[in-house]
Amino acid sequence: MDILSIFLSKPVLIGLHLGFAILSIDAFLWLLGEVVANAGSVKRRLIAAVLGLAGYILTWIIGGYYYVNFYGSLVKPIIKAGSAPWAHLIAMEAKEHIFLFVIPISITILLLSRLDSGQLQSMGLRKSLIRITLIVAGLGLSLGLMGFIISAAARWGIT
Amino acid sequence: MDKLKSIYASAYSTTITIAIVVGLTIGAELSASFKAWLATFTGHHWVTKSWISIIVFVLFFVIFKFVKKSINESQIRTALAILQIFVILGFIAILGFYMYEFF
Repeated sequence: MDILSIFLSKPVLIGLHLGFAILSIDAFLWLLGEVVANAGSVKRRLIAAVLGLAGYILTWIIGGYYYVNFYGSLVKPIIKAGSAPWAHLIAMEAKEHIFLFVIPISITILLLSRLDSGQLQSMGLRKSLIRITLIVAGLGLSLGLMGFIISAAARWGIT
Repeated sequence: MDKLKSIYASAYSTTITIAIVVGLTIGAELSASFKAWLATFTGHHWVTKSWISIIVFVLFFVIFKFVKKSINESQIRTALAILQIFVILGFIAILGFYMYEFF
C-alpha cells in the first residue's frame, strides 16, 4: 500500500476532514478573542483568519472527496436502512449544503481582519466582526454536531 | 479605500451566494429533474452546487468591487448586517426544509 492509498483511505479522509474543521473553529475562536480583547496585532488576526479559511477549504475538499466517492455508495444505504434514517435525510442533507456558506463568510472575515483595531472601532465594524466570527465558529460547531450524528448512525447500523 | 471596497463586495457577494445555495438546494429537492440536470455538469449535484457557489461569489465580488466607485462605513455596516441575517435565515431555511420534508 503506497502513501497516496493511505491518504485516500476512508478513516484518514474522515480524520482529516474533522481535523481541519476543528483547526478552523479553533482559529476563528482565537480571532474572536483577539477582536474582543481589542488586541493591537493585525498580524495575529490575519494568521488566525487565514488558518480558519484554509482549514475550511481543506475540510471542504477532503470531505467532498469522501462524500462523492464513498458516502453515497457505502454509508448512506446503512443509515437509511437503520433506526435513524433522519441522520441522513436531515443532518447530512443540511450539513452538505449549509457548509457551502462557510467559505465566503470566512473570506469576508479575512478581509475585515486586515483593518487594525483603531479602524474597526472608528468605523463601527468591530461588533460586526465579532458577530460574524461567532457565526462562522457556531456554524462549524453545528456542522460538527451533525457529522457526529451521521457517523454514530452509520456505526450503529440497523441495531 | 481598497480594503473597504473589498469588505463591501465580499459581504454582498456572500449574501447572494447564500441565497443562491438555499434556492438551488430547495429547488433540487422539489424537482428531481432539476437535481439530475445539476448532476450532468460534474457527475454529482453537490459538486455542481459547490462550483456554482464559487463562481457566484467571485462574479459578484468583482461586480460589487469594481462597479461601486466609493464606499462609506455605513454602507459596509449595512452590508454586514444583511449578511448576518441571511446566514441565519439560510441556516434555518435549509435545516427547516429537510425537517419538514422528513416529518
